[in-house]
Amino acid sequence: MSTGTGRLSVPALPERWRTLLLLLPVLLLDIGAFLVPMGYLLRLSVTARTSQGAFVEGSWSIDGYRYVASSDLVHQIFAFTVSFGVGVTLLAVAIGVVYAYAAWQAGRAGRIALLSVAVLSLFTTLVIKLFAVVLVFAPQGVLNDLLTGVGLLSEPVLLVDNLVGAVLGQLYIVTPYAILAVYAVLSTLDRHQVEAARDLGAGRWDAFREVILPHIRPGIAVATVVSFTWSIGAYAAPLLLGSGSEQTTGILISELLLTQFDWPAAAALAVITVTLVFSILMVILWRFDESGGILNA
Amino acid sequence: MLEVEGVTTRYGELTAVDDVSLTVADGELFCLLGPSGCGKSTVLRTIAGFEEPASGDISIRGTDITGRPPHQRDCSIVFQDWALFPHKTALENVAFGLKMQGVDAAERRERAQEALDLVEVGSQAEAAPDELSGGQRQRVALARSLTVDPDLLLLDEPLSNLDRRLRESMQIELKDIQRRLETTMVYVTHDQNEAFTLADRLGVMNDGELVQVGDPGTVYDDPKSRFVEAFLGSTNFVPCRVVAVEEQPILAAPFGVRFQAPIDAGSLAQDDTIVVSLRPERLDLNPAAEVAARAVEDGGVATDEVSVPCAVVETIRRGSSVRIRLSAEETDLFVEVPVEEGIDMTAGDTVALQWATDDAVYFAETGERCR
Amino acid sequence: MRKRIGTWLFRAVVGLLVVFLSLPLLIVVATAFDASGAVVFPPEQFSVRWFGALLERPTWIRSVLNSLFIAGGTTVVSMIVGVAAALGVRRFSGAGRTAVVGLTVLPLFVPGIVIGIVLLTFFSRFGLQQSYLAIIVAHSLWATPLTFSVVQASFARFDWHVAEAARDLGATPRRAFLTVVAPNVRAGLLVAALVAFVVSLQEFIMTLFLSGPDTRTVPVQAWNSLRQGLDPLVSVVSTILIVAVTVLILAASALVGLDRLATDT
Repeated sequence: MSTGTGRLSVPALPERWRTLLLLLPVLLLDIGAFLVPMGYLLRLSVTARTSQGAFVEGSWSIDGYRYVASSDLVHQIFAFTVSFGVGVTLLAVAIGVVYAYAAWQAGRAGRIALLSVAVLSLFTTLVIKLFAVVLVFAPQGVLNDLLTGVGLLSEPVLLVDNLVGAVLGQLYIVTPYAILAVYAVLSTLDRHQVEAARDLGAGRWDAFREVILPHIRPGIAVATVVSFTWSIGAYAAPLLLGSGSEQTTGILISELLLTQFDWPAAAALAVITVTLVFSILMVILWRFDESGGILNA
Repeated sequence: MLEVEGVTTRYGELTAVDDVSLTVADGELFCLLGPSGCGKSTVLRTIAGFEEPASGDISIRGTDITGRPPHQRDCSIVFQDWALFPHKTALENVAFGLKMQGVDAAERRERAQEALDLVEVGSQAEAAPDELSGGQRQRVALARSLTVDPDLLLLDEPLSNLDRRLRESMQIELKDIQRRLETTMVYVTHDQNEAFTLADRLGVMNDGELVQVGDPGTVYDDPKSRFVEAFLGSTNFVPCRVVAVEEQPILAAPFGVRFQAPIDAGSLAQDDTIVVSLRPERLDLNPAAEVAARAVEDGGVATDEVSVPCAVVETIRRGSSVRIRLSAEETDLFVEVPVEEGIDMTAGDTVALQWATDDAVYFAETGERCR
Repeated sequence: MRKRIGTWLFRAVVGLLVVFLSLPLLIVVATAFDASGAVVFPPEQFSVRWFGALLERPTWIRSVLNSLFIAGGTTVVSMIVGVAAALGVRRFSGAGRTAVVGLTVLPLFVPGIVIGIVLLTFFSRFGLQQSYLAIIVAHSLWATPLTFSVVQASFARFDWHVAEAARDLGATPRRAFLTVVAPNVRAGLLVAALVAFVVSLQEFIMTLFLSGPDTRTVPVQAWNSLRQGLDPLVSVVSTILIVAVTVLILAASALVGLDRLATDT
């Protein structure tokens, strides 16, 4: 790695060109493989729908959006996805704050244990996590076995193949991000500030509300945006752990794209989803993140 | 007022504070002085309730507070980095303690403003901490602690982040405020000048132990150990050999002079080492010729006054005084004299260095004071 | 008394969360060692025979090799891009910096399923769908912001005056970078590379849409088996992945400390 970058900083090149050369790869990647394809998606969303293929090359039409706007099914799915996203986000951020605070105020060993669990979970593929949720929460799963075994329950409760399962699975995917986003900011808090508050008569809760909460606002903003982005695009968790009625826009988009070959409609729905996520990102950037924490995350 | 009795505080294996006992009287400003890492801040944090002592008791006004959490102790701490709440204005910072006590908004505004006025930053009430200068932040932090009207104010090197001139004027002001409000204070510092300026009484700490307590003059003039002597100001330590043990031992300095030390020979033996501390301000310099004659009369062993011929190595002008580095045979010494006395000396001059044996302080090799 | 109840309640909640986050993974690992082949917990009889069975299933072997190849490719691409960008952006401040950083992190704020279908439709125009290249590029979109931020953080901790001192003493910029800068930020570079590798290893949604029968990674292969019912091999492969990720995280935190790993990424 170091030789590669060493070669890039050849002394003969003027400063400005050198900087541009160093930025070239990132511009190439993010424009070529992200912005241009996103533009292509936008273009796709305004082509005409056809039953002969995926879309009509070179045509212009707002049929895709018209379909999204007029279909009751799409409305229902969209409404469910948004409320699912909001619910999971609230839960994930609440858990993230509690967990990060626990890690922050624990001793060295406790902190290492708590952070290891979060980091390991973060870096485990969501497929394994969902599989694990099935093993634990299924009717014949570990939890139900345990609860019926000790007599707390007379028969297993249904925790998967329904909304609870979809939420549990999605939480399992996004919570580690929320925890670490909050912890990253919390770890920069000067402990003397909390001690000063305690010293001036604040109980633990007062100190949390008056000193810690204002400090971690940027972390909460990042946690919210990441959790919401992931949950609004939820696909695997509701598909594997929900019933048929926990359909999300993610599932709908992939169906439109892969089984119904209705690319304009799929693209229109994707454009709307991205627009929604970005507007929320903007609002949060503007309202909660004076210091630009998201961009420095 | 404050009683600390046999307090020991540990961080895991490390004993930061080892069996410290001290009492502070009502309205007194007590300084805890010591090098960094000596445990002085830990004593303060233990009093404030941030560290739990492994043993010992702490009481304020006769009430045992050893087990109480910080917010239930009637004392307040000013941190070295001031720890102002960055999301609150200066006024909100100062009003914080009152808010925690449930004082209503209008009254706490008023009282916070009064406190800010007292420390002369009343005009900065609406400023955020990062808009204030270091000195102003320090004042806000002080006001924040004063508004809760604590029985005891704890200050952990609150001035060490300020530049020297500001620090010196703040010391005077702090002392002034302390006298006016009659607040009892425990002030931690590593700067002996600061301690001498502020303290009614001071305690010197080393290695987790409280070595000596007393009023500043006594501690300076009558140190209990070589550590205290070294820590309170610069001095010349001259290791001398015991050559004869009489009622008072005869010492031989490395630069050839023998003299009778006014200390109890006690358990001393021939060839023991005694370290003699010669404070630079207690040494006299005289033209060499006069003195040489007198030394001969004394017949080799000086009794009341010792004089040593030295060569001037260098003179260093330090503001109103001059530091003169001397060499007596192989030993380096230094003297501090007022400018008008030292101005004429130059490197290479030969002078006689004189001191009264009563003005020197004597330590055994272990660092214990010999009396 | 009230305080004590609050404290215990808080501890109980945190304990439950730890169990929620960690227990499922432990159970997956445990089920991999059951002899019967039924996915049960606790395992009835300890056995490693399913680990051997894995070797006889070419589709799984293929997916493991694919995963390693794609993760390696993603690491190389995102490290070149991330390190170059971190060096390039170092002299920037204000709007220019925000623009570059914003562009880099943008893909993290688009749902994976959207990027997946976008790249699928886009790459299929060039016949690149289901290719390694498509998947590596997709993974790099997510790995680069992380390598960039980790590398940038270690650059920020590095005292660049040292590099200037080296130049002052006659080193060329290249020599100064190799002899003074690189050794000091080496830990940061290694951690960035590990993070990129792990991000690629665990990515699923984009890969699901972009991979074909020949380019399936382990998570996609596992997903396909899961859709057909519980397969003991999923436990076995999951265990291998969990262990691999644990080892890589341990390596990374040994290099820079867990605290930094948790806050930088």
